[in-house]
Amino acid sequence: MAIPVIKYKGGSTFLDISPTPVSERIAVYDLNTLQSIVSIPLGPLAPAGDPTDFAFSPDGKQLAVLYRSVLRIFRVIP
Amino acid sequence: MMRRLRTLRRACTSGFVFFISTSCVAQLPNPSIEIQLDKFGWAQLIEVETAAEYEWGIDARRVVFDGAGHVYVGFNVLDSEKLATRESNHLLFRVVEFDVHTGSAERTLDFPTHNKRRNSIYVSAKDTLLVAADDRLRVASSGGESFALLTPGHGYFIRQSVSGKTLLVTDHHGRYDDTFLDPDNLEIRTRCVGRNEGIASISDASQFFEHEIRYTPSFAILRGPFCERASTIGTPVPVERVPELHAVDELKYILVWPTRVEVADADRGELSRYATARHEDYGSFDV
Repeated sequence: MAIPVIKYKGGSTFLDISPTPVSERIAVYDLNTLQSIVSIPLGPLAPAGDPTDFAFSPDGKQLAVLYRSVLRIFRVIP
Repeated sequence: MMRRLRTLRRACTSGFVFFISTSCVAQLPNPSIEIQLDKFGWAQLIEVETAAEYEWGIDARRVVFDGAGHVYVGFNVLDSEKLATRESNHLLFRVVEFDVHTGSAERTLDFPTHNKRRNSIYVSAKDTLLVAADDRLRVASSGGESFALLTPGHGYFIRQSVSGKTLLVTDHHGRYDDTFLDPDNLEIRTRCVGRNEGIASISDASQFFEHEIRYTPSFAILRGPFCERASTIGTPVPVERVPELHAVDELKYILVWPTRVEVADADRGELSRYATARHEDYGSFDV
């Protein structure tokens, strides 16, 4: 399974300003053991405030990640 | 704070994908294929969240594989033949089909739409491509002949079971109208209207709810057949915040908490978590 890791940065409780969600990485886990398989950093290309679109191939070996105008396909399992 | 929680919930809901594997690798992979979508008309468009989107949230899926070696990507482009005004955006939701092995484009489909943020693509277990655009859900391969009308102005969610064999369209207008569809032909399997509680997740035969017990505080997971009464699985669990629930199949489901992920098995009638992964950044809003 893959989970987008989103961190909230900035904001102020005193001024009642919500922090900004920043997509940081996509964490890939083995569903049977929940061991981490790989972590794909998103970096500055990730859309601020929105989760990055991604999808697994049916066999679970490839992960497609849409970084705004760039589609990258990763082979997460050889 | 509510705004923050809503955003967080949307982020969880829209970005979750499951698969099962048995082997593990530990290195960071390099992308095997990289495709620049600018060549296919991608352009940065200003996306303003509408009142309905703010209120009900969005759940759009814009990249998806099929089982025949293709990956589909959807994005909005301006319809250059029509005048776009602030009130009337003449947009096209463009879906491009790429070969997974070579990265070459094989097909481009355009669907007129007025929505910037809610257009989605889905692929069924039999590799039928579905496109949701302009508040319509249609089978792309049959030229849009078969579709289900979604109520404009309402919040709606389209969800798919992990197997790809079941599609759920939820029309949210204060209450929930749920329609379960066969994704290969958009035939309605069953429909239930006016529910008070929204479905958290579906498998191919069951619907799952999260029931929050406010005075404890705790929550329970309920499971039942489509459009029928759901019963509690196990006993309520004390929590400060209700986690995201994602069903993998009839018995196995995943709970996403702010700082950890749990896989649970309902086979024994208990909320028995057999594995747990913790994110390192405890205390942050990681999901």
